[in-house]
Amino acid sequence: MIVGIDVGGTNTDVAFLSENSIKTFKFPNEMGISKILEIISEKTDISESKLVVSTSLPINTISSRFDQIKTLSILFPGPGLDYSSFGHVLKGYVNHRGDVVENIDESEIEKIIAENDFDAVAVSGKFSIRNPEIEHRAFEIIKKHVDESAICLSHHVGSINYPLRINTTIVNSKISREIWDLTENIRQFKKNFFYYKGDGGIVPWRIAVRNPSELYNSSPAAVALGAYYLTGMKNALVVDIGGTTTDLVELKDGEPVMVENAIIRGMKTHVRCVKSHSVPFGGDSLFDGELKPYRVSSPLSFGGDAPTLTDLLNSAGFEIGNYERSRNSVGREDAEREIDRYIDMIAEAAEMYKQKILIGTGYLAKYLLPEIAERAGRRYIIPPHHESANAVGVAVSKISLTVYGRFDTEKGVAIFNGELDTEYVEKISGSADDDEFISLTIERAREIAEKYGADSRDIGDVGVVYFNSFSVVRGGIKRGKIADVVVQIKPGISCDAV
Amino acid sequence: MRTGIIYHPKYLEHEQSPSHPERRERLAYTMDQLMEEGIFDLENILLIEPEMADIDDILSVHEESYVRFLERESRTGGIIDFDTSIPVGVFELALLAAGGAIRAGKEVAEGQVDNAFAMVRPPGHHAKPHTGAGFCYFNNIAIMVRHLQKMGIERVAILDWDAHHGDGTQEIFYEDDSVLFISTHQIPLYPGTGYPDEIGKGRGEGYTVNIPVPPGTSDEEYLYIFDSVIEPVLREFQPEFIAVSAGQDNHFTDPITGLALTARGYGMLMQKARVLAEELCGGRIVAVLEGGYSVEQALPYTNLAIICGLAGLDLSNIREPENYIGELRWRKRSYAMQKVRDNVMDVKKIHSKYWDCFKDL
Repeated sequence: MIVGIDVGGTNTDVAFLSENSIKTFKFPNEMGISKILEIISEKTDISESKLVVSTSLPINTISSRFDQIKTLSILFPGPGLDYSSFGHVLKGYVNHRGDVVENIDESEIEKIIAENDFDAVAVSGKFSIRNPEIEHRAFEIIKKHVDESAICLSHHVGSINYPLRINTTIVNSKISREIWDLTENIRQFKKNFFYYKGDGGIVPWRIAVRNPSELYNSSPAAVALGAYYLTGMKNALVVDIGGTTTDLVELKDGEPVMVENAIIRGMKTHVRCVKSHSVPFGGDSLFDGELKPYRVSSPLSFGGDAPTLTDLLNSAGFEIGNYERSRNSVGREDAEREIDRYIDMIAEAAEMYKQKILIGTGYLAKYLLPEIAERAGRRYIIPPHHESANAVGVAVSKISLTVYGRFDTEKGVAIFNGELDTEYVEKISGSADDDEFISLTIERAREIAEKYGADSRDIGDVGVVYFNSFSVVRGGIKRGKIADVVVQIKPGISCDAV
Repeated sequence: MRTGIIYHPKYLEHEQSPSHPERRERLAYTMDQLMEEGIFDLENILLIEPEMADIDDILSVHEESYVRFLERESRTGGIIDFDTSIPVGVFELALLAAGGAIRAGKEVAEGQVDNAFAMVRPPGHHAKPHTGAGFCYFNNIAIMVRHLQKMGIERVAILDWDAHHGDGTQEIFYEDDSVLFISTHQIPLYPGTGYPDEIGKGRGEGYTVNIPVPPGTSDEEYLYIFDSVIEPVLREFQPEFIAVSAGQDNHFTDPITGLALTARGYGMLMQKARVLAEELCGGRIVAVLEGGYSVEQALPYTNLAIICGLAGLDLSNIREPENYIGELRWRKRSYAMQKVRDNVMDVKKIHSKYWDCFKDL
């Protein structure tokens, strides 16, 4: 049994996926994750299930509280470009080989902590992905003053490109504490679970909390994978009509279209996630003479205290929830005009894509998508469980890990950091050839995935994303070899769900 | 302003032997540094992948018999001199390096970018019309200059600041008054040429300017040479294009030379050259990578410094890490400035016959 949970903008969707059945449930977010998990626990034994959670907490925090959470950005850039606009530049440097060639000054760190007012700390050292020692030493000093859950280190981001790593670490620091809190809540019910990433793969919680920006945009990713799983359509445009937004995600060859280096609040980051187009209107959008791009309450027909798009559908003739309440509040003419405007908006957005087929998801899809498709001149499918396709997507996904391997046979080290929870350093033999480096990294990626409970059938497909190697010569003598290997266990549908 | 960086992943493939000073690490570490600095995300930097040079371009500089010899030997492996072997496949890689220089020149001449750095391997400035030498197979910068001249750019100035004298380039343009060749380099050092009395011949007399420097020469001396010789001669020559043979082996950590330039010094030299190009020839300047063998300690930073100097990026944080400074103290020589002043005086005297800027000595 797999339990998939998607905490969206307004509702939390849950899917139970077992060998031959799918069950879905919807809860209002106001209930809180603990209460929802309590209810789920009554229906099934979560301790025996695989639990996967997708959360829009990062997006919510980023869109509403980003500037309120003050981040102290501490940098160890050493020589090179000027990074003073990215944070406080302190002494200390790791070079491209991973050697510490300039030591940190501990008193400098103490001073910057004492002098500033902040909620979170982002620590970014140049080439920390080659040697995280300086970031670790800074962490030891900072944690005496700040809660560990509010300190983020850049080497956990994993990828080369310092300015992007700084930005990603700053984003991480703003959402870190909330992700930790959520994690603690969930762990009351299940010690080991997975988070769903914005690229449609899942990762063990322990890895996610160190680089939480990877969870960015996970809801559209979940919807896309769910829509694919429920319809089998490899090429289509998914139109997800949610509570506060309507999101469009394109499927190509069975995979959602991705964006590399997502820009978050104007900052280019290392985040790779599903490319989605969001229209700020959904079932809970307020109607006050016209539709507004925000939510005030639930629809009247579901006990809310202001009319919304859902109520307009009732006034126009549908029967969703307590439809009488909607009809008493909004007249048919107003309702039809505003529904028409909404449909135009979404049809226009859908026309921007070449896909011929629309897949409708979300609770209101069956009421709105037929007309949207007609106006956009597209065919459409509304699959069973469309109202919780997001949770289905969460449940069916498999583990996805990127492992950044760095081998330096002169120093006798292999470093696997990237998304790992510890920095592995181990001796390797002096004259490894290129294939050995690659297979060692793949092996390590599989080991980690299995350690966290991935099914061995889900980790067969490991792609080599990057490889480079060359000899190291000192004093005119070949002393060893350096190799960089990046491998990825690709996201996709888990064997349990096939 | 936009700066092109010409680079091809195949530049990492050339290798005479894994322990040869001119080896893959040189650019592998540089690319590490540039990727980590996020250089390729900057709006004013354009990464350009070149193609192989046409044989016609090679033949504008090299003798056909040598080109055929290299092509033939490159199939099975061979040897040119004691430190320049012919590894299998080097012919195509050397064509790609020359192609990189040509592409840099073309992009700048045609205005797609304002200036460019051809980050190529193998290097070129020791290669002569009839032979390769000193790690070099084809003279990349000379091939670029001839290509530019075919495009209609007549007067080109070559500034060669590699620690070794650019004897190949000098030989190619020795009797040519359309190309000014100014070289500053360490003496004594390979190849043993480049004395101030080598001034060019025939129509080219006075268009070769050599300024030797002693071991231990550092930033101040190089900047002094730029201000007192390079800049006035370039102003008087009025080039339409400036080409820099950018050797990064003057750095104080270089294992096969004895100079004491720093990464910041490189950045400042390049910045001065770029500003001068803006004044004299619409900013048209290309740097072509030559030597530089401090693969771990210097090359990543010095190449970054060159790019910063070209792209107008802030140089204030181009500096040496603390742990390297001790080496600089060992390398720098207090007497270098006096020797450089003497050399500059000799150069001015010799060239006062050809250049008005040195007339009033």
